[in-house]
Amino acid sequence: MKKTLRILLLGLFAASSMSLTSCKDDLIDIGILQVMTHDALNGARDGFIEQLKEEGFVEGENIRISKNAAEGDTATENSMATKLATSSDLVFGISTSSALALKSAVSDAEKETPVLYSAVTDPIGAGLIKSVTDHGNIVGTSDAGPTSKNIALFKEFAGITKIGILYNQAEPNSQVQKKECQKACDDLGLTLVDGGVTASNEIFSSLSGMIGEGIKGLFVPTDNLIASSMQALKETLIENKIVTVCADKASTDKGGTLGYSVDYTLLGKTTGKMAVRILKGEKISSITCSLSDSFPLEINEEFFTKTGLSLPDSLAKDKKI
Amino acid sequence: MNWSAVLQFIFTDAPTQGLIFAIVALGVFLSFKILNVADMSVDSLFPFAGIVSLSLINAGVPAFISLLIAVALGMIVGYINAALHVYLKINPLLASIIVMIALYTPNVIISKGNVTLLEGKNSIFMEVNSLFNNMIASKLVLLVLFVLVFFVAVYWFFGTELGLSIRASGKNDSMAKANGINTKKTYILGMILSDGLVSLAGALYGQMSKHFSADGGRGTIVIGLAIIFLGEVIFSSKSFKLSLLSLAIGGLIYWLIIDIIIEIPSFNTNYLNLTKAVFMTLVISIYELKKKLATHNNEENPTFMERLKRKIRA
Repeated sequence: MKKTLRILLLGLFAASSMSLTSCKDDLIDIGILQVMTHDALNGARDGFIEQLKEEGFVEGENIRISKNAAEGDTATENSMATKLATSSDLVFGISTSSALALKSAVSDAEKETPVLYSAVTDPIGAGLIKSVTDHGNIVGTSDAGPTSKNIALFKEFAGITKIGILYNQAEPNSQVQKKECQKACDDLGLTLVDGGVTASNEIFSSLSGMIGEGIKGLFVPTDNLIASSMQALKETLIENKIVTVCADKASTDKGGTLGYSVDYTLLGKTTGKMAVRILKGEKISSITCSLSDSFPLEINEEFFTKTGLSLPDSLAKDKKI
Repeated sequence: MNWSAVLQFIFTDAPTQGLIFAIVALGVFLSFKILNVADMSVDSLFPFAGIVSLSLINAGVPAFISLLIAVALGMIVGYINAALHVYLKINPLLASIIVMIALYTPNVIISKGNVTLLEGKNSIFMEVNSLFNNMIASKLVLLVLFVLVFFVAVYWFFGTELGLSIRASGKNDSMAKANGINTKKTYILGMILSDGLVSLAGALYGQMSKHFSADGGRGTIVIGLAIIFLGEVIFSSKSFKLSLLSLAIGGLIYWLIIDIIIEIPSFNTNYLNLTKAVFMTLVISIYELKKKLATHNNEENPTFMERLKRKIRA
């Protein structure tokens, strides 16, 4: 029994090793790691690949792309980072934890592989880079949204004095935005109800609790956990006529009302441009880490038609055509 | 595919992750196999120890001292975990869930979401690296050392009178009581040791990966249990010594399998969790099947497998 099992296991290894195709060529290996799969992060990934393609780096022709998503599992994320650090010529981390995992894996493999990042709100605060110009072998784009501008949107709607914020307490991105949100609310005289959650199964009860406290508006920062459950909240938000301002386009489209949002596809494209410069031989130190700078106003018409609320005239002119 | 890179990856990642998770499995083994409780607090305790250790190093505490403090705090958590059951009569599974939920708060507050080892601060691995000048070798040497020391210590301890009384009370509470063992005391001690080991693994993991997020421990208990079952399937261990050894080997094999899965080109990582689940089901069902076979197994009435084996031998 023992022996048969051991033989079986050995066979399994052998078989899975065989399935790895053996071919050594001179394609450039690009490794992409994202903490989980959802629209915003996928947008950054697809934008990145699209930009590379536009500038002549086509998958299968002169580059090979390995796409990895850790589905929220830290240990797996670290394994994937180690894999990419050993095998890739350039790595791209989408989200704070993925970028940090890649940074650590590359330095432990004693390599100088360029590390690109995106969808990181506060790269300096998270310890990823020292400053936007002094960043070692790491460069990328930050997704810090215009939080105060977004909170000011609530003032355009009559009768909103109390708003809630829905975010994952464990995401550094969201912690930063929550602080900014609190500050903006204080400045504008809005009352903020903290709806921090720790897991996706708490989101719904947190929202119900905040509605019970009488919120009329809801702010959703660029948060991975909330972004992945936005669709499920749509009905409740419409039913209670909660004006929901989201900091990313995908969330607004899925269940929000409106928001000046970070366009992750654009963010991915900007990162892609940096990758192209590195692939063409430019020194990584001469590239400056960027913050997203254009924030289109996204509006979800469905919310207005279903709730009967109307878009304030002051915003209608800002609307993206 | 670049084979040297594949091999380099598998032979650096699987042993390092495997050895750390072998320590997790050892902790889970004490609670799950010896005390007979599923300790869910592991999922929060693992990142807790890592976050505490990294934050202390960032604050200027030497890496080794931070490791000790993290383990000490983990043991206190273990005491609370056990006390909830022993003194407040809360169901042990529920008690560990309460501790798991409670620990989330310090994790978020201390880490502010995510903690990273600051530039210029040294983890215990980097300190050892000044001797070897090879990061992979220093990681392996240090981890092998930790695994050896703690596995031998656990083996020794559970052979002493106190250790045996813990094992006895886990096996049969009433029988142990009848023999004059204070089962409350043994339960508390067992949980303290179990959570201490998990914290050690968490602190080492934090220092090795140089960053930890507050929710970075999701699924740790599952990995620990998977390693225990995997070890038993491979070794069908009857003795305590072999059970411990099977944990260390089980850890290595578990990560070898994960690494092979994620190394398969064009593997869509969306299927990763399903693949892991299928794999877990396979392992546990083989384990149960083996147990069934083993009970039927005797000389007069050889099982099918036994007959097959004899045939092969002949």
